[in-house]
Amino acid sequence: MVVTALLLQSTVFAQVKLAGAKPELMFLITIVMAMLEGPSVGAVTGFTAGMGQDFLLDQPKGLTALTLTLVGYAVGQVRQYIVTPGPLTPVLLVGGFTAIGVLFYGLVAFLLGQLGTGFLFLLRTALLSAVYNAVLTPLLYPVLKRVAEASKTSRVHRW
Amino acid sequence: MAIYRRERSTRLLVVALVVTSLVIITLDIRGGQRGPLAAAGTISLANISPLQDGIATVFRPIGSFFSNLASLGSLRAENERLQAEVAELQAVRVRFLEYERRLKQLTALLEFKETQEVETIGATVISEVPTNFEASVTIDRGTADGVELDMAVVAAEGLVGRVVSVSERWSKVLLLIDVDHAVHARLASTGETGILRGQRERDLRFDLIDPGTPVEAGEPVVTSGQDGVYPPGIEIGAVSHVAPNESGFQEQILVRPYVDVSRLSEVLVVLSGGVVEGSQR
Repeated sequence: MVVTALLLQSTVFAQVKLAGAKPELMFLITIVMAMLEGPSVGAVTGFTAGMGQDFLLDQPKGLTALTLTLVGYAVGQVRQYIVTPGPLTPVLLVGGFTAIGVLFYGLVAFLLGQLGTGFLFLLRTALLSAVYNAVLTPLLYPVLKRVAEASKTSRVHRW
Repeated sequence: MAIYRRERSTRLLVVALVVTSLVIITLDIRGGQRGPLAAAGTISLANISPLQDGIATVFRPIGSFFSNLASLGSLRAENERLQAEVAELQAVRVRFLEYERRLKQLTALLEFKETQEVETIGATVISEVPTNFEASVTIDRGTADGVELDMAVVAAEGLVGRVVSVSERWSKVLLLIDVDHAVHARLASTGETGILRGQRERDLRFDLIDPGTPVEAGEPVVTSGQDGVYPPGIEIGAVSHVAPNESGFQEQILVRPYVDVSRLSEVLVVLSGGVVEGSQR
């Protein structure tokens, strides 16, 4: 799932930009999986997706993994407080946590001296990526939900 | 009790993952471009690049199609049937336009290559690095084709960037608009030299060695060859903006690159030194 998303992100979505910004599919996958499965699965999915992005795309290693681990855990915790989830809940969570995650990534990268862009560019990127991810959520949420359900079924041992 | 135990194990798991990430970040930063993690990244890039190449070949016309549709805002008002019909025709048209564009680019590149003394090799851009914090592309040439670190990459219009990561069949090229990219350049008219730095979406910043030099908008800027990376004479862009800065002493000079990095598909990697004779804009 992670490799497929990375390939799509680096080829198809690299050409279809929203006001110059690309979607953050790893964020989307992590947030949706954390919503569906809770903080543990969210953190592990985030870590795997982040490491995948860092290594497969030759990025600064560990930075995306750290960000997505925390995002996955945070979303998993937040979902416990959502009493009546509405149809827009996934869209809002994906949008909100993508923005927070990208800002966190930028902040850590800045502290480590790995970020060459200014704060305004970071803010603009975080907002546009969040909007892009939110727009993609209604399309990808059903697919990810099916993947999560399929993995649950395969974990059941019948006697 | 069971809930408390589960929450505790989740927290332990997250702490372990965070600590692992921090260790990897530390090792990566300390190891730099020659460290074991950088090597692992290069190997991973080499493995994923063939897949990217395949997918890019299949989806490039579709991606261009969607990009094109996004810019056709005025068509939104039309009815669904007409839109479907337009989209169908558009798909065919875009495919032809894509072929036509590539043909033009390849022809210009071939003409440019034939006029050069330097040894070059043609390469195709197979993917963009899909993050918002780095401006780079992957090309389908690597060490097997003679490509090495820090080699210059040019298009028919001018400078594109330099190779920053290379595997056997694939290389990563840092684009000249990236904030980490700098090139020693000179004004083509006066020969005054300076450092040209990327600013992502904005034009390149040109810091002249001699800040008092009079500069006019429209003056071409070329590589000086003094940085030991780029051969001299590669066209970079033209001065787009000249203004005194806040202190009033040194002028702020901006240079608009000739190359449109958002539309790169065919490029040349400069394999050997020499003087580049000027591009085919």
